[in-house]
Amino acid sequence: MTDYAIVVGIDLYPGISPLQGAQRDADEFAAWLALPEGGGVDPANVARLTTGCFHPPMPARASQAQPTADQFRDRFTDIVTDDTGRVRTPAGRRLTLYFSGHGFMGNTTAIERAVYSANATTLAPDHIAATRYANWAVRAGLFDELVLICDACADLSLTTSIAEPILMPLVNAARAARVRTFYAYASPAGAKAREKPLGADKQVRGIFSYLLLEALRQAPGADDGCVMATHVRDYIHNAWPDIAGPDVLPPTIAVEPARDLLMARRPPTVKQPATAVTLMAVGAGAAEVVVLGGNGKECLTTTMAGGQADVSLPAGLYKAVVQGTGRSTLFQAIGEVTRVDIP
Amino acid sequence: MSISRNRKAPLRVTAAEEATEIFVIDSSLSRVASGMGSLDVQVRPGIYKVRLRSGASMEDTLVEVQEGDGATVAARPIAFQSAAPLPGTLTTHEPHQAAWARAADPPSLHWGSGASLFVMVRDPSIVRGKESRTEPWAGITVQDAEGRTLGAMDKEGERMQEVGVGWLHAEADPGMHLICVDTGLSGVQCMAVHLCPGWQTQVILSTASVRRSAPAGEGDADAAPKQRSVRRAALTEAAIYYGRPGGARDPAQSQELLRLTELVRQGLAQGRPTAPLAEVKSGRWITTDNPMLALLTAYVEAAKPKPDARLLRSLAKELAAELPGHPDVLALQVLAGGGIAPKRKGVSAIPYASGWVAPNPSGPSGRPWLLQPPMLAAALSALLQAMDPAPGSLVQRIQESLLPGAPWLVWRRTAAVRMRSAQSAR
Repeated sequence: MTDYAIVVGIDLYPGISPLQGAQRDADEFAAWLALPEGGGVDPANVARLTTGCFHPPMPARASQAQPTADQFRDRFTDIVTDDTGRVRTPAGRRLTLYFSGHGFMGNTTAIERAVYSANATTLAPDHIAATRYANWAVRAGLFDELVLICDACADLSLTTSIAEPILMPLVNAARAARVRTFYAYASPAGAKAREKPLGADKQVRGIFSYLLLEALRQAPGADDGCVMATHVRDYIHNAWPDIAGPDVLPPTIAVEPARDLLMARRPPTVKQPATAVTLMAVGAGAAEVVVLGGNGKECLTTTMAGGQADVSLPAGLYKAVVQGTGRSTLFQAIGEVTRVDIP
Repeated sequence: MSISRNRKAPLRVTAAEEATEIFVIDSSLSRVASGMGSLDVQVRPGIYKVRLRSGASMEDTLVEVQEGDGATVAARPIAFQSAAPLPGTLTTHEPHQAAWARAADPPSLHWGSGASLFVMVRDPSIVRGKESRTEPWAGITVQDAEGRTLGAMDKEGERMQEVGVGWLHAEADPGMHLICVDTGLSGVQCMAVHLCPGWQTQVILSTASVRRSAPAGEGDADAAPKQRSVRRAALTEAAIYYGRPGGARDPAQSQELLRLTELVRQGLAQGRPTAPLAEVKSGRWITTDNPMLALLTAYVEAAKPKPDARLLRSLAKELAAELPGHPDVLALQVLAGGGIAPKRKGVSAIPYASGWVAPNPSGPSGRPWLLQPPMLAAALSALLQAMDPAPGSLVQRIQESLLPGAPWLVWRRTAAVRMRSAQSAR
C-alpha cells in the first residue's frame, strides 16, 4: 500500500502578518519525507502547498494569497478518491498532514487545531481545519496510519470557531479502531509556536519543526534501526528546553505506546548521525580523556590539546573522565554541536 | 567503570512541591518513568536525566545511578511564571507583593455586603530601579450580573504607578460579577467570578502583549502589513483565590498553598496531571484557607480519562459546605456522576436563590435553565449536561465567543454578547 502526504507551509499572510520560517520548515519536511532513509514516500505522492508554489508574483489583494483552504481540500480529496471521485477504501497505508503557519485552537473541549490559509484576514479568517481533516480520515478508516503535524500557534484568535470541512461524513468503525495515529502540535493549549534562527546556516525555522526533523534524523531508535513515534516524542521533549528555553511550554505530542508507529528506518549498517562534541577542561593540557556511555562502557579515549578535545558521539547521555586528575562530568550529546565543560 | 546491567538500583527523586512533575530519561533519551512530587523507581545502573517541571518551567539534572546504592535527587523549588507575585516565581517583585498584601486591609469600595472582591493587576516586565511607564489597569472594569459597571480600575482603583501595579478592593454582594478588559486592539474580554458569603475573592492579573495586525494598505497604501500591540491584563492567565477577609491564619502555609494552587491551575490549562492527590486525600487544606486549590484539583481529576468518581463526590461535598451554591461546585457533582442536586424532603437542592440557575418555566419536569456562566470552562460543559442555557441569557450569548486555552471561562464581548434580551422568551 502507498503512503501519501500533504505539506502546507505559509509565510505570506497579507491579511495577518508574515512569518519567516514556515515555508522553509515545510520544504525541509517534504524533503525528508521523500528520502528513502527518511519518510520513504514517493515524491509524486507528496502534495506541496507552500507560499513558494504560488508567489511571487505578490498578490494584489490579501484575498488572492495562496494556498487557500479550498486548495487543501482539493489535494485531500484527490488522495482519498479515484478519478471518478469515488472514495478509495483503503486509500493508502499512511497519510501525513504537515502544517506550518499561523494557527489557532477551537473553543470546543476537544483538542483541535486549525491553520490560517494565506488569504485569511481579520474579516474573513479562512483556515484549514487540520485536526478535523485528520479525524475525518481516521473515522473513515481510509489509512492504516495517520500522522498529523501542526507547527502553528494555538492562540491567534481571529476566530475561535473551526469550520467543519465540507466532506460527507464517512464512518468505518471497524477500520477506524485499528488506525494508528501520531498527532503533534507545536504549542499546547493557548500558547504560541515560535520560530528563530536555527541550524548551522542560522536561518529562521520553527523550533518545533527543527527539533522534529532532528529527532527523525538523530533520535536513537531501537537496535534494529527502527525509529518509532515514541522515540521521536521523547527526543523532542528531551531536547526542547535546550533549544526553546527552560520556560517555554513544550509541544503536545499524542501517540499511544501500545500502538506505536514506525517513523523512520535506518539500515543497521547506517550509523546514527553524530553530534560534534567539544570537551573543555581548563588546565588539563594534553591529558587523556575517556568518554563512557550511559551503560558505563567506554565509548572512546582521546588526548586533549590545550585542554580541549573534539569528538563525535551519537545522541545520548555520557560521562567524561579526565584521566589522572579526578575530574569528570556527566553530559548530554544532542543536536549538531555540544560543548561540555569539565570542571 | 564497568556496570552490571542486570541488577537494578533505586533512583529516588523528591521535588520540592507536590505539583511538580518528574520525568526520568535514560541514556538513549527515552522516558523510562514519570511521577508527581516524588518518585522511587528501580533502574539499571547508568546515567539518567531527571527532569522536573513546574508550570511551564523545567529543570534538568544528570545523575549517575550506581550499582547497589542507586542515586537520590532532592530538588529545590522551581521558579515558574505566574500572574501572582508569589515568592520564588519568575516575575515576582517585592512592591507587587506589598500591593497584594493590601488585600488584608478593609475594602475601600462598597457595592454591597456579604462578600468581598480584590482585583489586582501588575506589569511583570518592570525592571528593578526603573520607573514603569505602562498602565496595566487600563480598560479593566468590574460589572454586576446585569453588565452595569460597578468600578473602573483606572478611576476607582488604587495604584503604585512607579512599579506598575494597581488594585481595587470592594465589599460586594455574593453572586456573579464580571471582570472585563477592554484590550483596545482585540475587543473587550470578560470572565465571570462568583463571590461567596464569608470569602474574599482575589483575582490577580498580569499584563501580556495583545497584538492585532493591520492589513496592508491601512494608513500608508504602500506599507507592508503592520502589527500593533499594547499591554493589557490577560484574563486567561488570571490567578484566582478564595481567601479569608483580613488575611490567612498562617501566612507561610498560605503562600505554599497559593503556589500549589497556581501549579494546579496551570496543569489544568495544559492538560497535565498536576493534582496533589496525597494532599487531597489527607483533606488537610479543604477546610483551611484555600478552597480554590481543592476546586482546581477536582477538575484536574475530572479531566482524566478515568476519574475517581468517589474522590470527586467527596470533594464536591466538602466544597459545597465551603462555597454553598457555587456553580463550579455543582458542576463537579455532575462530573462525579451524581447529576444535579436531587430533591430532599420534597425540596429541590438546586440553588435557585443564587441567581445563576432558574427553574424551567415549563414546569418541574423540564431541565433547569442556566442563566449565568460558571468560572471554569469545564464547569460550563458539565452544567450543560444537566441544564439548558436560558434563551437570551449571558450563557447563551457567550457560547460562540469563548476564548480557548484557559481553564477559566473567558469570552470576547461581541455585538451578540452585548445585546440584552429585550423580549421575553415565548
